[in-house]
Amino acid sequence: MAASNAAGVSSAGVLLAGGGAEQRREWALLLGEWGHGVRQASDLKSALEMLAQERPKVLVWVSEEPEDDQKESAALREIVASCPLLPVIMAPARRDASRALELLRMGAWEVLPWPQSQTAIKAAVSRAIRFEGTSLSIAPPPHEPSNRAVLWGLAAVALAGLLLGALSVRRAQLRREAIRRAGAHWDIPYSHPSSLAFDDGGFWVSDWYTRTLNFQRKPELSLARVVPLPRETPIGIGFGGGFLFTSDTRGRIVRHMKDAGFTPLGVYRQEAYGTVGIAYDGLFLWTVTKHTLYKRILDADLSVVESWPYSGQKAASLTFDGESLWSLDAGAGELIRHRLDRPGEAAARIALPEYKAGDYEPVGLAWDGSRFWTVAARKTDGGAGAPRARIFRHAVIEGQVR
Amino acid sequence: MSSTCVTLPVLIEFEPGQFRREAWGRVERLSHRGGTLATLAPIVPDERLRLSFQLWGQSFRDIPCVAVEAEKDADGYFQAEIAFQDEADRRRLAKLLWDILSR
Repeated sequence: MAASNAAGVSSAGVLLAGGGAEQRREWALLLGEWGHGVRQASDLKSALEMLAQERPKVLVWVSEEPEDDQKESAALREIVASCPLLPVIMAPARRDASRALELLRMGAWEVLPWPQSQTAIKAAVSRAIRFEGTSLSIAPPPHEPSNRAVLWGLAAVALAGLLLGALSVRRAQLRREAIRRAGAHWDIPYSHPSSLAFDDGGFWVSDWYTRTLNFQRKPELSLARVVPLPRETPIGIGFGGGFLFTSDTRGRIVRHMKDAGFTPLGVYRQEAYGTVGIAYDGLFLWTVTKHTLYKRILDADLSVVESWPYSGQKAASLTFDGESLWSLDAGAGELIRHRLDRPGEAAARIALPEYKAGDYEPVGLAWDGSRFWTVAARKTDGGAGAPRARIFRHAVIEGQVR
Repeated sequence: MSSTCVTLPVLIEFEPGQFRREAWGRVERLSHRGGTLATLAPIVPDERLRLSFQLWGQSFRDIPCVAVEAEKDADGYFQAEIAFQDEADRRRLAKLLWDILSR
């Protein structure tokens, strides 16, 4: 294969995996001539090891034999599970449209048609490098009433006149209001969420497995940004005082600058094992572990002022709504309100019907100024194609909107 | 309103007289009337295609459509604005989209 031109040169990394040594050498030469930095992995194991160390912008999996379906599928499944947001380009050794579609549904970003042309390789890699997460945009169809419905409508209007019209308008208003107040959910493309926080028009979701913070922009909750936290395995996040606070599996609480990469500013010396929820009330930083609620001051040690046994079964997260602290009780599938003057007591308990079936484990809670949102991971497999994680918008709670 | 965070993989078949093998791509914007298709397979304006895809557990097979507009983008992908031709398909899709959006 000979390279064509060097337009659109990029220093972005491509991890080239699978295939034979000679095959990879040809591909690497080609990609290199187009300006892509290329690393090579001979098999799935070394590819996963490389992914754990340094994240490339694109992974290209080359198949050596036309009968490599099983190996191809296994590799794709492992890579997607390990790095769900990494664009994976599959280069099978035969052309089969049904098989290509199957790979796309399994999570491949693109499947190159065999024999792979330079034009197709270049186009796919170039587009994949710019990939930052995308969503299928669905346009709502207009209401198209049937002829029968139109006739009935006309008859009704003729018979009932203005009074009925006025009633219909009121009914529509009530329906819109009911929809506005109702709950909803959004599936998210990563599988191991650990916490949720609201900031700047959207939600940040930490994913402990990929060690990333993922920004889901409102109102569509499309994935707009992914920020890696390579040195942490985040299990709790919270904004406050112009900073982002994260807690990790090593018992550390880290303060981050709110810049594009959430630059770490410092690690607090005091250990805080099992901190799953962080909330700031404007003065104190509140943290919660499974069974204990802590009130801390923002000094160099993040000193604990006071602590209380948690008033629910199993705390999963914490948020502040401007008046009270709210915790997410994953054990009971409830929200618990804690008054700031008596935080150890449950001032109110609100059941979340979304968790009644027990399919999802709630792990994060956030308040967006008008209602509560949670993020959850699926407990059961749910079958092929079932969403692994989900963000829930909860129905407006009476008296919640001030 | 509910939304998935992936684009929709589709199987593309061409008119029999064109003697072209089936291809694949992704629909990036979808309405009951049509959508935007991105694919490595060359597509020209006014070309007639048949699309098959699965959406929200429902299968749509051999949906006839026409590429109203088509052009190659800077990366080398063909971006086509497609319009579904069959009223029955449009109605079925409209109903499903309403179901999805009202979840």
